[in-house]
Amino acid sequence: MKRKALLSIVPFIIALASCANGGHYNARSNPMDSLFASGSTGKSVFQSSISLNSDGLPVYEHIDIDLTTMNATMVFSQVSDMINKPSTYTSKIVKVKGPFRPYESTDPNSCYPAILVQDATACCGNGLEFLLYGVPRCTMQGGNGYPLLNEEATIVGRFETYLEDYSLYIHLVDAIWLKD
Amino acid sequence: MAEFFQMIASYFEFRFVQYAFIVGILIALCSSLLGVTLVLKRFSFIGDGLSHMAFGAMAVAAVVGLTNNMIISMPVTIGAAILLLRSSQNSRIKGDAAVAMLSVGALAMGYLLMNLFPTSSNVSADVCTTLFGSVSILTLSTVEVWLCIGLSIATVIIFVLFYNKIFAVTFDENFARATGVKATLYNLLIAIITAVIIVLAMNLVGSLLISALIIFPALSAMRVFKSFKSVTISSAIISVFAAASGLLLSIVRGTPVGPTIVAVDIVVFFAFLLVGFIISRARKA
Repeated sequence: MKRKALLSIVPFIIALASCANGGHYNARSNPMDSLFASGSTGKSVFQSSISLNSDGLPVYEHIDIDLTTMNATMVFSQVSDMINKPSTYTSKIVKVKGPFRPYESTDPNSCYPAILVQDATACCGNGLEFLLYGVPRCTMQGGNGYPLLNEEATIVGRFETYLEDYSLYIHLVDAIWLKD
Repeated sequence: MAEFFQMIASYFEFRFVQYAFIVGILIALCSSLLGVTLVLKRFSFIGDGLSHMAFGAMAVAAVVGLTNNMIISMPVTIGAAILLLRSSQNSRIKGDAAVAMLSVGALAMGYLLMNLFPTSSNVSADVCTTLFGSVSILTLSTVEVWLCIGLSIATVIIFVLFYNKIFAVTFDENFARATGVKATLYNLLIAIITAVIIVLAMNLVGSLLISALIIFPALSAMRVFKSFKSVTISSAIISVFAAASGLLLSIVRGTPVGPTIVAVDIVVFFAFLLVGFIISRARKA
């Protein structure tokens, strides 16, 4: 009886193990590669519904996900979750703080602006891409309305996904740069 | 204090934190059940060897472009576990030397392959997260969580069903054989479960720290308790406590998950060492 049970459980274990959805080595340790943006300005298709202040910038009265109040472990985990399950976060207002690290584009005069968030060991990093409202695409050195390279910046924007080259990407649109 | 509990409660609203606790506790439970057997069979270091083997297999999977690297890592690790646990004292390379050889060999070859044939621009991050499990447990998918729940239930059921046989094979394999126990079959079972748990546990503490998850709870329990049953039960409790409090600490304090859990395991070990010392002194007096 026990032998039968044993023989029936072992294949079950192996089958379960084989259907695993990959390990973390491939799946999540290098998400930076998949963070690229589309579009040339920060204005989204929803811009008509955005309330603007006297300077013509979007106003966000509440923040759904405030990454600036979390520690490194939680921030990295939260951003990883956004990458893994983006549909959960669509249209949420996100606030993030970190060094400005744009990603290279195929267009030499352009780049993909992003805030870098790292885990507690600083060995893994995710870039949370954003598009500032009404500001043209950044350059690799930053400036022209965007922060400078490696400059600490606080960004608030609305979470959206988009398709590019058959891949789904995430970014914050209609974003504003909060300068203290 | 109320603020502290409020903060913890707010963290538990995050789905990935809930997943991490479910999976972390289950992996800790399973690894501690196996830990007692492995420590008593003098295979404390097998976790290290097998996890490094899994690391090497993952590197091969990445190089050949497999998105699901468990297709390679799981069978390779199971094969290595069977070879190691079944190797007798009469083999030309003794058990500890075989584990050491496998461990460093697979680690070196894995890293070498990843550098020679990089599949991403960030090899150091890939290696770091696999070796130290910095936040892997906090980035699990729903499928991985269900997989872990299924495997953990299967492991606990096997352990409970075959507890007496595993006990017999653990303490005296030759005697168990003489009394009609199919030692080879049960060694094979132990090897398969060990490999599965190790590949899963890489999510929790990373491949360099898996041994701690296996040996510390068992060794801590052995400082105070003496029977196989009491050591196994207390080892499971210690392991679950260390995993849960380590995870909680890492989330609250922002420290790397794997090393924090191991740090709690170390503290618990010294606490049990002290308790064991006090008990033995009291008995002598």
